[in-house]
Amino acid sequence: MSDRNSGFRELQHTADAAIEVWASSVENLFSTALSGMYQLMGVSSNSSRLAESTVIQLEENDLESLLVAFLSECLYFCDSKGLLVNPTHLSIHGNCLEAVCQLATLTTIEKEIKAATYHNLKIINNGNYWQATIVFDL
Amino acid sequence: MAELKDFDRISDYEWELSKDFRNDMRVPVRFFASESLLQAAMQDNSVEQAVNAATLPGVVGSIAVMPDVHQGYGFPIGGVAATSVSEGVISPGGIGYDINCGVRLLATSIPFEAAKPHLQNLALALNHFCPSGVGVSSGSKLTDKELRKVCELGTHWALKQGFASEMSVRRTEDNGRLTGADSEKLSERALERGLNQLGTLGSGNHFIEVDVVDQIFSEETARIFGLDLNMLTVMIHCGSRGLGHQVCTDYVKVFQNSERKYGISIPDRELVCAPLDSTEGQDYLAAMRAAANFAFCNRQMLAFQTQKAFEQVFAGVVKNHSLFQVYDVAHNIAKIETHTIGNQKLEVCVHRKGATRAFGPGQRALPAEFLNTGQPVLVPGSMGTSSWVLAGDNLSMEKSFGSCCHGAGRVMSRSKAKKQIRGDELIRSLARKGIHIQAGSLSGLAEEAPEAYKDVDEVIEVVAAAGLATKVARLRPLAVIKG
Repeated sequence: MSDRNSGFRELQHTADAAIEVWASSVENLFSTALSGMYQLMGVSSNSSRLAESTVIQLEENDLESLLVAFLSECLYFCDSKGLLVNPTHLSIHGNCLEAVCQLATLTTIEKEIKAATYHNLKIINNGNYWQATIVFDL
Repeated sequence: MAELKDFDRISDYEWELSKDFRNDMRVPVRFFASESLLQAAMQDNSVEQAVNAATLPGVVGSIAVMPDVHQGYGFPIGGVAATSVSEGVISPGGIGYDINCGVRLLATSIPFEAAKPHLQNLALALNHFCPSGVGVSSGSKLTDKELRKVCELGTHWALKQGFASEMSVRRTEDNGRLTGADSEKLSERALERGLNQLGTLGSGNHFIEVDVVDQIFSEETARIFGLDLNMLTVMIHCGSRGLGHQVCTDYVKVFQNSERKYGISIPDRELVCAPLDSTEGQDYLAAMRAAANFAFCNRQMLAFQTQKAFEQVFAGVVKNHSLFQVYDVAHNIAKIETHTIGNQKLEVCVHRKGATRAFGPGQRALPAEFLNTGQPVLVPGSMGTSSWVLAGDNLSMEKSFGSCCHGAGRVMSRSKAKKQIRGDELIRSLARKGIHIQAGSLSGLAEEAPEAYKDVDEVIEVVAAAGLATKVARLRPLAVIKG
């Protein structure tokens, strides 16, 4: 779902992990943040072993909480069900998210992420530019 | 942020940042560090995070920061904060996602010389019997009913099932069972994640390590702890796995509303908190205790599996060998304890995040055999360097709410460690030192290289000089199993 104006980079953190994410829309910001989290975890899936699809619906008090909730949801799928979430359609209206996701069976994972945290989390929006820094507990 | 000149030098090993340093601080911050370790702590956000912890409503005394401190998220790792039970808050961020991450130490009667030819086999056997690595499940799945019993009974569940001895239960902090745990306060997801993870090590910095006692500093205390020179020991470091992570995730979310509901102002949303006497605060306390009991039981199950590995390798090789528990400590937890603040005894909620309880002699919470020595304080070093066994000192009751350090403490980010250190080279380098490694991931191993950590011996010098604990024995690693 990410476009060429989206991206992420890993930031230095003494013990845990942090990424800076940017995108041209809030939806791309969320899907790029998920890609960044998966890259930190070193996950891969077997595309020939696609599981079912699912719809993730979330409502929170603010966008930051929505981002933490979305990433937490994907961590739950990974840890508890061994599934990777690939959003094929993601929409955000206000503080509500709906994501239609293809689920793929996890084949490898290098690193466990315990949680996406609120630490210093702030989503910044300047017109078509969205940016956030997310710290993960490893 | 803070500079060295902002600290009052109390002694060579204690530094204080007064509550005037920032106008929202309610109490001072007391750092236990040498000047060089304090300088190291100022290289990341540790100081700012400790100052943030000093703003929590109802916080009392001072924030204690251990010499192995490094930045975390919200709260610094190596921080201790006590809040008044009647007027204070509880903060999941002051405990962490891996609730009751902790360390268990087993001692043996197996001499190093007799074990030396079998260490590689021992590492393989431990790796076989103790499931480790990301996403690895235990061999058997609990029923929902049994999992709830684990969460409420902790190590006592293992005792009833024949997986633990009376001695191992007695020699676990709080007898391996926090009262007041309530599995009804766990979400369905937390329970689901715990069903097949009991008895698993996980990944990251969790490990099982075989060591040899290579130096003893107090003969009498070492004897009481069951530690003999040149004998093998086993250290198990892990926590509450996905169940605990989910509990913290769930309640950090619930507590996001507390700021508005209770008029609490905090400088970082990861420090969200609720009054201890509120419904949210009590619910979290009961859920946190349930996760802590799961973690106590998890380490017990790994100790049981460790025993099997030792049986397989040493049966018929070393006559009458025994494996028994020295102690088990939590270093990510909150406890309701009574401490003296000023001249007043106060019931407080002690948040220890990356800090170990270090109760001194005479404390009622200790088993009878440790009443004269103080509790064993278990401090693992980085992979390939020494680990330490200390004895809690009563000065820690005055200075740090009965707390001590929990490890060496990181200084290098994981990404930098991976760039600078290759996992395969690290294995060869450790092998040259006689250390056998079983690791699930080479990059994960590189992240945990000794170079990424502070010098644990320097950390120990500080806590000993500050009087938080006394040296009992130093352990040298022989084999490490990592997920």
